[in-house]
Order: sequence, then structure tokens, then C-alpha cells
Amino acid sequence: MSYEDKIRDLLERLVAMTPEPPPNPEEITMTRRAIVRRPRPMLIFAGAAALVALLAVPIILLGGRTGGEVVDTTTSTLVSPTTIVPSETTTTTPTVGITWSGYVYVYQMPQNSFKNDPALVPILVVVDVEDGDEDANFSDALAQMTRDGSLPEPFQNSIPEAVRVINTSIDGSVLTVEMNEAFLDGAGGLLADFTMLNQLIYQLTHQGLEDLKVLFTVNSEPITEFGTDGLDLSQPVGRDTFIEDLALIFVTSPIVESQGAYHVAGVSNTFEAVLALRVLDGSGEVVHEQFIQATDGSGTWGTYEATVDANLIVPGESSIMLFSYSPEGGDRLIDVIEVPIPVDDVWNLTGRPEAVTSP
Amino acid sequence: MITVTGVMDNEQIYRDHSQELTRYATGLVGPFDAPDVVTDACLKAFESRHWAEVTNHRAYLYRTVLSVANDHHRRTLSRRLREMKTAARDYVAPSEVDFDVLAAIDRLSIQQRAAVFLTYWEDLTPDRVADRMGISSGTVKRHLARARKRLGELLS
Repeated sequence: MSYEDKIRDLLERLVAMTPEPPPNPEEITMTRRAIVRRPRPMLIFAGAAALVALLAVPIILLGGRTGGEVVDTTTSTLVSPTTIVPSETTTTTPTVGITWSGYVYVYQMPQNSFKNDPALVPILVVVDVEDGDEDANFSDALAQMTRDGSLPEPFQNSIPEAVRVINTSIDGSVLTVEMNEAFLDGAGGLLADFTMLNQLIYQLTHQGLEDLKVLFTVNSEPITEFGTDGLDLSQPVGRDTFIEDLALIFVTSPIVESQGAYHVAGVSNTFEAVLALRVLDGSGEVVHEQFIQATDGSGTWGTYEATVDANLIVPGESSIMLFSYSPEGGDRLIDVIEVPIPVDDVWNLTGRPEAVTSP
Repeated sequence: MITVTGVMDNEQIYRDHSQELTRYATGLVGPFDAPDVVTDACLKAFESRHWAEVTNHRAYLYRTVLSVANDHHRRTLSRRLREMKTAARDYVAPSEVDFDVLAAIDRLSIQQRAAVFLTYWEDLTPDRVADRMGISSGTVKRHLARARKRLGELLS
């Protein structure tokens, strides 16, 4: 069997699993929904013309699934499409907002680093987003965590609370990301601006989109002046554009357990492409250490991957530490980051822990 | 606002294409999430400002399915991770679900899956795949090359 035949065979087996088409969504929504258009607060401004825009803008820009928030009379629509356990959506009836779950890129400042740059870390979170609707995205979740002060230690967020991603579209290798106007102000300082851009770029190009370039737009126009330094963002930017403004070791996949091991992956630029991983217990004691060989180093950025036996980790207590040994000092640890492992791999920041209970 | 005429037209369009769109979505996100992707894509298309001006509904719907599949893929990461764990522990798979195939497809990005599906299932030329995906034929070839590489060891 030729290679192409094997691919066709694979597809044949995949297509054989095709389910029945769903019912025409228009028929369902026409008969059982009541549409309530609830504009976002950011769009509220004075005057009668604004009132008209208030009704029209969210529908056009947010690309809502049904032209506005849908109040479904048969099931709760206050739960995000990304809610982990669909079967529980009917029992979860918050009066306002939705529960959003997914990963968010946050950062922490490494210890013992000659660079004063942040280390990105993606974490899985479940958050109650007040006033969120089914179109809520990671920027709404981050804003909620910033507002609540609920972002777990030692993580930080450089994206200001008012900044939102409105929608995204892909054209070839360019991911166009429409932001709200608050984005133009940046994060309040040059270093914070770069951190904010890196957080957004890595977040938006996660999971199979790593090679895409991001074109930020506001009011559908490319951005020529961004943040403190009036940075020109009119050309698409990618993961490598501002990489020199990141720490020498950072993480690019949520650290989760699968099939008996925790998987750690990221980007580094360490001496001879070697870094190290330690597992710390709840009291900070080292229970395990291993070396990791990255694909590149010593001035060139590479990627690294490692697995850690799940038996070494107690979720909710243990941490994974990533660092490198100083080429000068031998046993001196540099560029140290420490990622706590939450229970069930997810930071549950809701007031309703039942939202993540397995069925 | 959707007119009565528009609803009638959309009904016909949906009847004509829902089967193939569901197949395509299955190729992109697997059988569990395909109905959701098709539903979201059709709603998005039908309610688009541009829908009334669209002449090739089929092509437009294909592109919308791809776009929604991309969003869906990103947004459901945590749920998928959890389902994988559950499946590994105590989930009894229906006999028709072929997890080996799903695991193989999971190695590819959504763009790569679309290129593979349209090339090897629909037998479209790179130019026509490019048109269906809204990208250049060069990018299609790159996606195919990367997909072949990622599937390489599995299929060799």
C-alpha cells in the first residue's frame, strides 16, 4: 500500500465515524429563543447615536452566534461552550455571567536571572466571568481574574483589565485579531508592553497555530502606534518577534498529567542547551531532579520537552521548578521558575467547584 | 434580520450541504465535536452581514467550518484534556469509535487536517484546496508536507 493510500485509508476510517448532521440550527433558534441584545459596558457612550450603535456594534463586531445573547428557554445558556462537563450545564444556574474554562498565558519573573524579563506560563483555569456571555474569551477571563485578584501565586498578568480581544480570523498565515481601543494604550510601560504583546501572541497562536503571524487591529485598522513607545504594529508579529524580551526559560504548554506522567514543554536559551527540572514537595524539599536537553542553546532559542512520573507529584502541593546551572558557578541555579501543580491540573477559581466534577 | 425568504433559502442550503459539512468537520475536529462545529458555522454564516451577497454558499460554508473548527480547537483544550483522561480511565468506547485514528489525526493542526482532507478525501487539486481554505496554494503544499511528516512514522 502506497503512502497516499495509507492516508486515504486513515481518512476512510475517520469519515466512517461521521455522525448524523445536527438539526438546522436556524429552525431551532427561530422557535425557542428570545433574543436580548445586551451591549458590553465598554461600548456605552452618551447620545442618541451611541444608543443606536450600542445595539448594532456588538452584533457586528462580536460575530455572535445568534446576533446577540440568546436566552434559551429550555436549557441554561449561561454556561460557556467550553464548560468541561456538558451534562452539568442544566444544573448550574448562576444568575449572571458564565463559567469559562481554558488556558491563559500568564507570566512570572524568574529568580537569579541577569535578564529582567518575564517567563510565560500557560495555565488551565475555570473562572466565573461576570456579565460574560457565550462569546466570552480568555481576555474576559483574565480581566475577571485581575478584577478579583484571584490569579494564583506566583503568576502575574500584564494585560490591563480593560483590554479585550473582540474577534479573530485567519487568512493564510496571518491571524488577524481585532482588539478594543483600550489595547492601544499598552500596559503602562515599555517592559510591560512587550510582556503584554508576548502574552497575547503566545495565547492566540497556541495549539497548532504556532507558525501564524498575528496582525492586531483596532476598529479594523492595523495599529501604527501602540503603548508607551508608540510601537508600530502594522505588520504581523509572531512568537519570535519579541522573544528577546522573554526569560531564558519559559513554558509553552499547560503542565498536565496524562497517562501517568506530567508533560512539560517550552522554549529556552541556556548554556549548551541544557536545563534542569526539579520536583518540589509541599514544603519546598527537592524530591526529584532531572536534566533536559533542548534543541538549541548558547545564544540560540530552542525548544525542550520533558516528562515527570506522576507518582512524584502531589497535585495541590507539589511544584515543578525549571532552571539552569550557572556556567560559571557550577551549582548555582539561574533563571529559576517554579510552577505549582494544582489539583486536577486546573486552577478552579469559581465559587462553584461542582463545575469541574467528573460525571 | 433574516427574512422569511431567507429562512427558506437557508433551509434548502442546509439540506444540500449539511451532510458533507459534517463529514468535513469530522475530518477537522473528530466525530464528537463535529455537530457543534457545523451548528456554529451555519449560524455564523447565516447571520453574517455578507451572507446575502454570497454566490458560492458551499465554498463560504466550508471556509466558515474551518474557521469555527480553529476557534473550537483552541477553546476546548481543557475539556479535551479532561475527556482524554476520562477515556483512559473508565470510558467505554462505542464500537464505532476508532481511537487510533483520532490519535493520529490529533498530531495535525486544523489547517493541516483541512489540507489533507480536501486533498486526499475530496481529491481536489492544490489550487482548489487553496480556494476552499482561503489561502495560497503554496501554503497548502506546506501544510501537506508538514502533515505527511507528522504522520510519517505512523504510516511508514
